[in-house]
Amino acid sequence: MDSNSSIKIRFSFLGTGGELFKILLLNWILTVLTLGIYYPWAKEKYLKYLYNSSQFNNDPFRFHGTGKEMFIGMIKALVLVILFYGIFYLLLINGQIIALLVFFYAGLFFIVPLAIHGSYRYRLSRSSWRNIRFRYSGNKTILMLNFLKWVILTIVTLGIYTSWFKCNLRKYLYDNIYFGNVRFRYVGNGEDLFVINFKGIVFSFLTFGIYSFWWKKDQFNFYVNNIRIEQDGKISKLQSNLDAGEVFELIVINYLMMVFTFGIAYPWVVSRSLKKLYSLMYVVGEVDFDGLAQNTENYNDALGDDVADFLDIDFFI
Amino acid sequence: MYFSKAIYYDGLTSTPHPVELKYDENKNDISFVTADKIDHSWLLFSCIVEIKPHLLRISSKDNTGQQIKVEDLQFIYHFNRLFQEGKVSWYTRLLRMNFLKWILFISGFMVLIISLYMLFLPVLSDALCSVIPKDVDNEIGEKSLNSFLSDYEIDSNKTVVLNQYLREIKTPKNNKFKIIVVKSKEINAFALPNGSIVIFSEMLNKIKHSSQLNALLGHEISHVTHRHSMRSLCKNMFTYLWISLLFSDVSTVQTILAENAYTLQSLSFSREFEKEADFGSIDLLRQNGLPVEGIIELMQIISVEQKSSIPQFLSTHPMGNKRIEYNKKEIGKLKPYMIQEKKVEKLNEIWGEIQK
Ligand SMILES: [Zn+2]
Repeated sequence: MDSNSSIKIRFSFLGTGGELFKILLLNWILTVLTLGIYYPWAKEKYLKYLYNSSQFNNDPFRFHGTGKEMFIGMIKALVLVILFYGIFYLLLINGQIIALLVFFYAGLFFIVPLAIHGSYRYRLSRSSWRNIRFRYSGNKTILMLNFLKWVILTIVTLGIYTSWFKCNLRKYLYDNIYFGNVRFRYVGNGEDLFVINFKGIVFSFLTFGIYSFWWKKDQFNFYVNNIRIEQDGKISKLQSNLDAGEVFELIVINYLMMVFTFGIAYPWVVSRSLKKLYSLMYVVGEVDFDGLAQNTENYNDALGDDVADFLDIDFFI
Repeated sequence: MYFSKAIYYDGLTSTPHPVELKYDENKNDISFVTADKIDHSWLLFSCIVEIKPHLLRISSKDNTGQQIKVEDLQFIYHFNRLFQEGKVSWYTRLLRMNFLKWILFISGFMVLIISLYMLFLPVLSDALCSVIPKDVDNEIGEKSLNSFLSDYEIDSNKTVVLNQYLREIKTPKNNKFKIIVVKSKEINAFALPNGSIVIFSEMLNKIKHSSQLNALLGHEISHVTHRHSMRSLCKNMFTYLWISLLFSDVSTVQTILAENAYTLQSLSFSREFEKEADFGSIDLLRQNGLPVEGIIELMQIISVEQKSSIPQFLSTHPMGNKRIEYNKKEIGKLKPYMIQEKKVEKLNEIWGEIQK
């Protein structure tokens, strides 16, 4: 009935390693010369380049964040981190080991979801495509409580719950992402991811690690293929058909490039990886991406993004 | 005047609106009419223009998010040739530097980094060192000695007699010195910041006369009194700090520091420190009324050993000939002084016992 429903809408990456190299080199020099103060502005330039080079249906994404916002976020994050370490060392010096452990883990379980929440909220509110903004509407208290629950379950089950943890977290985050008048859903469930991971561990062990390329491929495809986009009851799916050979090629070549150039090839590694992964992804379904309408709610807090930077959290969980 | 089909996005919806675009190179603006009969005219000075070989994007700089997209290659070619850009940020101007300017820019940066390093490192590390209390030297020296001794056997007889020997020499008051002799085929000796002087048994075998031993002890004592260990540690720390600042990585500093702090014997001093210790030795011997010629003989022994493949000594001490030369020169500068024959005799006596 719907002629649009079988059309694949594709992603592409138009950036080049050379351009990325210049940006990263200039950012590095400026950051060193300013003793790190330039870092947020450097990040702005880097993200803007990556977003501008990432296309969906032949139009680029845009990043609207500014260095100033992220600088304020960095200051707040710095205060938070110094406070955290300050209390940590105070307890350490006074030899209160139990209080120290409780504080450390409680703090971590508090900060990690806060950082994820903050970085989703900030990053998505500053992202757009054809000027239609993204938005994350999750609630940080609910996320923190859930996070705590999942962590406890993971510990109690000696890590078996990890697959469910990941799926639950993704589900909470994606179900709260809006894009104009469209919303996201995550439909992956823990059982399926558990089977993938269980198979991955067993076969990787039996094949001396060779199976790990298939495992990685399964994980990536599972992540992408369970993302849905919804518009008034119409549904589109994100799809990826990465295969093990491509994983092998990406990992091995990237590794060799990094090792033989002492890391200088990093920008080329980033650009070729994104090119490859984007080229394998597409959206298929009923959603009309020419009919998106702006939704005008914005947020003004870059804190989360920078706490995430400190904790080295990957933006996409 | 150039014309092309274009796509217009109004910033409120994602709907592509086909429009007929007009580019006026004299006024440096683009204009088009939308389906709702509204005239649009954008001055290019106040627009963001992105040109890729096959694609032209023009975005208005106001906050409406309106965009124009052109894919007509002919039009893009002429537009690219003629349009006048608005204000370009200093960052973009840096990015657009040509290859030669990039090379100059990077070399300038490197020179700056290296000269700042050379300029500030000695000042900063000595400043840090001067605020570190002597107790820290003692503690680090003690721990370092213990970890070293766990791998070696002490020659307790020689240790006792050598300490007796050391007591005959007047040493600076603010340090307690003691000697430990360990059994080893290596030719080496080193001093720890708490005043412990470790001498390897093979080193003692190579020494032929008490004046040479005096020179060695004077050298090691000077390392301690000048706090060479602590100063080297501070220097290393600032070097690592510098590197980690460059590569924004602090964790490596912590691990390297932790590894290095208690393995002082493997810490090699700079040639400058070795020279200072040699001159310190000359000074100490003169104050004690002992002959200084043993220093040259000691250097000769060391330089012979250096040639016969002992890489460890080679790495930790300056090359032979030059060292002998500057020491000869320094000795030449000495004013004549009284040799305390009694002390020399006493030392010779104990030295005789050691050699048994
Ligand atoms: Zn020395």
